[in-house]
Amino acid sequence: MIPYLLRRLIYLGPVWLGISFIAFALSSLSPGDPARLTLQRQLDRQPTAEEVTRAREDLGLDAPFVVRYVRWVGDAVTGDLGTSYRTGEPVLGALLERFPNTLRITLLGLGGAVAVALPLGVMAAVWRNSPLDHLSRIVSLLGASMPSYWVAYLLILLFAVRLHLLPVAGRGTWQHMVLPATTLGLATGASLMRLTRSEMLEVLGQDFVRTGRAKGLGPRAVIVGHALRNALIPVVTVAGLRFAGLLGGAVIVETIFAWPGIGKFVLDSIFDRDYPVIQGFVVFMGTVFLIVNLAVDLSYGLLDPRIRLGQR
Amino acid sequence: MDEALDGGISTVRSGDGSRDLTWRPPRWVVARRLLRDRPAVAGALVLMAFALVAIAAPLVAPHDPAAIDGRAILQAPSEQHRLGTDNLGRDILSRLIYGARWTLGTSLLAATAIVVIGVSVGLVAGYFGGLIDDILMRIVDVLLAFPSLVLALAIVGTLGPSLRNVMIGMVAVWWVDYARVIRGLTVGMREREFVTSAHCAGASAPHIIFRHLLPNVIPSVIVLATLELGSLMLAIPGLSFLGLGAQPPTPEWGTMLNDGRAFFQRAPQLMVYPGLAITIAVIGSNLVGDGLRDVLDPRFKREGRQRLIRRATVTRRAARSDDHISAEVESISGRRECARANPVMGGTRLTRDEPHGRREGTMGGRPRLGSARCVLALTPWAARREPSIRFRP
Repeated sequence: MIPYLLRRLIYLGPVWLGISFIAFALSSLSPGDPARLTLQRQLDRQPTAEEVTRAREDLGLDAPFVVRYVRWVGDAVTGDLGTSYRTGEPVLGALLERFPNTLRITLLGLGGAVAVALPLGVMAAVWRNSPLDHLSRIVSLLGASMPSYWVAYLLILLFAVRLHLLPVAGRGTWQHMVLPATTLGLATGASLMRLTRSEMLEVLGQDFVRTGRAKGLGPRAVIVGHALRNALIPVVTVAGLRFAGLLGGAVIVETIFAWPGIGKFVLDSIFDRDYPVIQGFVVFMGTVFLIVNLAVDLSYGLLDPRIRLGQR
Repeated sequence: MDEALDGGISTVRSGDGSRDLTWRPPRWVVARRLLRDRPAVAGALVLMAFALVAIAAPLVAPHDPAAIDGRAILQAPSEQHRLGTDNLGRDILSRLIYGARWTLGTSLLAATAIVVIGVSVGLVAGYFGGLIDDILMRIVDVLLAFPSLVLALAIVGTLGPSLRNVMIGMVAVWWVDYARVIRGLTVGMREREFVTSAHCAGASAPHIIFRHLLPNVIPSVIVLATLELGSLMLAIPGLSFLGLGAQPPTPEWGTMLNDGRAFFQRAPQLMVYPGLAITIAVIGSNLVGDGLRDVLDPRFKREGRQRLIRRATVTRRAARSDDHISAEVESISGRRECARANPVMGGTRLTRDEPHGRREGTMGGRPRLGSARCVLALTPWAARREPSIRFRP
């Protein structure tokens, strides 16, 4: 286990460097000159050519690309992702400050999705071709096909405007989190339900399930103890991957519900051409994604004792 | 066995034998199966209808999508404006019709670019292997280390908001999935006889790639591309919705949703219809993609259509005209196959409702392998797909 973990961590190194390289290379895509942009903000007027040249030297922008990259990575490793053009705060601090908010609705959305999808998926598989199964098929097709930025408004229209049950947007109470989390979790729930169903169907047809039934185990023991446990591994994988995807998808939901998370912050930064924040966001999300992936891989060992990590 | 039934006892097994990954049913079988897949046909009709509307937009649209009418602002649906008007008095239906051009067009264009790049990279990496493969796959690894929307968003954000940049951002990120899948398929085929023999016959690398490898990955590509089209039709309007893609007054569906945000409490039609249009289009392509996947791509799990008949014993009685067959079936599932077997089984029905026990039926012809398959509710293509099926007379 420990050597396996170490090996995985060592492998993460090059991938992380790749992530940081992409994030850094993004800056060279930007149409504007960062020195000029910074000066414009500081001086509130068009800077002279001389000032721009001096600023370029001060910011180290006159160095070759590779040198700038190495410098930037060196800073990034120590947690310095630069400062935001817009707010002047350190990028990493700004991201970390807002990340818990994003994490909150994402975890709530994912948790809700799993809580609904697992039982429904199992039931759809056990009662295959029942009305419930057909319903689950329709629901999952809809869930996968409806754009979240549309569902959000339908939910607002229904629960906030018509029924006055939940607030439209903003933050404060737990009620504020319900609609964003629902919007975020819907598509994931739909696909997890589908996946649980097909995995369960596969497992239920296997010999050990028949053996379990034959030796007189009750349906619950067979379905939950034997079948679900084995069907769970791919479901956990997808849920883990979806989690990271949800963190990215939170941009849309946070914008709609005015939720002060990392996604809304980045979108505001995009419109303000705040490149250090965009760069920092890429590195940050890439790092989070790597960690989540690692956690998912490690969880296999817990779910399935047959998988001995590190013995391949 | 029933005493009345003499003759051979045939045991037919449909096991989980190793699957031949490159085996494909012939084209007419694919077409026929697809046409029988009602959801897939419905999806295809929806997509075709949308495409037709997009092409014939000037003929179909009742109004000019850009015509501003100060006297008809935020009107509810009426005779004149079937879906109402927006905050500038523009006809929503007409804008949706023209919007189909933008939304479907950009998704299609992006999907094409993604397929071309992904397939090329996958084929090259898989065929040549070695250093090229290593380099390309490390790039893929890194790009896969992002949630796809994050990087696309960052690229668009850096390049600046515009529909063109949205497409660049999507293509730059989304080709990797294809590259990986296609590379995997290619690596699996590289060592096979048809490639080796082409190589020995002196075929060049481009010839082998285009004439021998490419045709074999095309089914997977079609499946992936159709499903991808659906996600692109969600993602591209999504970025437009955020204000990063098509800019007003373009009647792109995501942009229309963005425009409608400020007024949606007063005039829900501004939000409801563009979103509905996206949803229907995505459902269409998802249905087609699922149908194609079931038919074309044995790599994917055949959800809901697995044959779970593990073992069935078929007895037959030789007779001149009608052959009596009975089958002991342990379990049946997979509606489709069973339904297909029904007419063959004469009076009895193999249904999922009575999954156990003996089935008997009458059928014409010589009940050899074909009838055994019918009893098993296996169609010929399914039997061929499962090399482990044996008919023991």
